[in-house]
Amino acid sequence: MDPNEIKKRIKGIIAGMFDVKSEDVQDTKPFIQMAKYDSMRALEFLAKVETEFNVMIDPDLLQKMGTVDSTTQVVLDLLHAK
Amino acid sequence: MPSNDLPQDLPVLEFLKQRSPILMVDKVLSWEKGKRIRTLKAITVNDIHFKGHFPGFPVFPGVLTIESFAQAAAILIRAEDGEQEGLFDVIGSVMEFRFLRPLLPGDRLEVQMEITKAVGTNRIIEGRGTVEGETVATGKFTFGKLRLP
Repeated sequence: MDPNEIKKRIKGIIAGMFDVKSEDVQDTKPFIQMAKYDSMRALEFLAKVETEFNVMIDPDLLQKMGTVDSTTQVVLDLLHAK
Repeated sequence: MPSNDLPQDLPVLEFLKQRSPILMVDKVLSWEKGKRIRTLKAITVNDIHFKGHFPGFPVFPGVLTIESFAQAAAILIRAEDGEQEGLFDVIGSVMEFRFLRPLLPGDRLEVQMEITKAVGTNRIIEGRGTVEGETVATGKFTFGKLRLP
């Protein structure tokens, strides 16, 4: 899958969760800097990424899913490992 | 479901803070600590919500199906974590919830919830509701802890 497509869909997930526009979600801004992003939201994000890309994500990888860019890389790695 | 050498019929009222008319678990059928639980909710025409939902056409409200799933999950969490002073188990999100057929008086809703991921005190718990073996609803929750004053 094209990394840009992955990135676009990840931004869509974040936009949906936090009621912001996709185009306002930045590639490298840590999610933790978003209002209302906390450990429970992080787990929800993980679940939505799993569903979106049909992958299983070990919760240990959450620490690598702190931005759009780093999450894109996690998804790419999981899709390549399939 | 494998036995975990613990009593399978947990006393619902000891594990839930909800009370009538919002108690949506009648009985725990079985459970496995930290993993899964099966509960039962018998839907009867006498249930108070049928007075308004809907007059002459009783349909179990979908939000109460969600509540039934959530209460089953809450029992499972509470049975693992025990009572924690000032902390409440709360729903963070309800995801991909699907209602596959209406629930009607006379249905016995069996709910199966399974913890699929846990990070600290946060959990993803996935569930399925069945009536006589037919799947009637499915959904996924995040649960966490909230300190309330």
